[in-house]
Amino acid sequence: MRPGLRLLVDWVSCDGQGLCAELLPEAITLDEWGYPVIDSRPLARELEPLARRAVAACPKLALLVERA
Amino acid sequence: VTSARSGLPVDMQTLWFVTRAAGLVSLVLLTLTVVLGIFATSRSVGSHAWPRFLNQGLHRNVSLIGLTLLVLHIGTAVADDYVSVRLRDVVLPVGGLYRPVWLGAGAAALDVLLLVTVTSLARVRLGHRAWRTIHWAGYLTWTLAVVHGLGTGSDAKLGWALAVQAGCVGVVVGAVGFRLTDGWRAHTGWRLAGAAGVVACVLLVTAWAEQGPLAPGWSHRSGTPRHSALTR
Repeated sequence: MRPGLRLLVDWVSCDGQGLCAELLPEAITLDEWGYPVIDSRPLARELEPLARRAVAACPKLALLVERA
Repeated sequence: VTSARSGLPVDMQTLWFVTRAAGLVSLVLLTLTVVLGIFATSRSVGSHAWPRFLNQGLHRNVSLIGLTLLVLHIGTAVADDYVSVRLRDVVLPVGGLYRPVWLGAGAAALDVLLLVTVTSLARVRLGHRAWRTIHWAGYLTWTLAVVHGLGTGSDAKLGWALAVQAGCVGVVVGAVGFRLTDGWRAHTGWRLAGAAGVVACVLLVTAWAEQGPLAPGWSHRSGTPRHSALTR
């Protein structure tokens, strides 16, 4: 079985726009300043398309996925 | 059945009517695209009931619908024999046979729009900086589209069509005004330059429209071929 995807944030680029948490609340919440708090465990398989959508939606392209 | 105005069969006019209608509708959709794009950049346009990804997703989808209408606008203009729009005139901004400068503005608008669209579809691969630099050209393509519409549009002088075009300009100017005053007041110099640029563009286009497309004799001055059924 291939390994799952894991989310990570490029903190230099991240601006705290918050679209990722709107699109993937299953794995991303926002802290009190609007920056993402990421669930670092591998994503459930059914969340992977949604995660890729959140990655593409990030205004700064600061949200990334990698193979866990 | 022949048209009283041109003496040509009505079914031969269908393509030409579609061209004109699709042109105006795509201007409205491009206008909506610009406004949604401006809203998508703003932290203040978003709430629990209207999350920010809606602005972004609508910006994307409305732009693609607008592009589809543009394909119809261009396809019917080429297919129609009323005006000589060749395939080369679709993308080459110079050397057209029908109101060449203003047809050229439309070709340039299409070229820039395609560049903006393709780079957006490849945004994740392209990287944020390069994409964003190119994406500023969205304002250029919209402005060229307005000028093209006024310069070539055979309906541009009609009251209701003029109202639609003025409405589009007003809405975009309002949205840019919002963008320039929204959020942190960083980049004050750029914001002032942007405001000055918008005012200059509006004055320039208005002055040109008054002397040009809205003044008598434009069809002749803009280079409508003598044999064209549209010369009137």
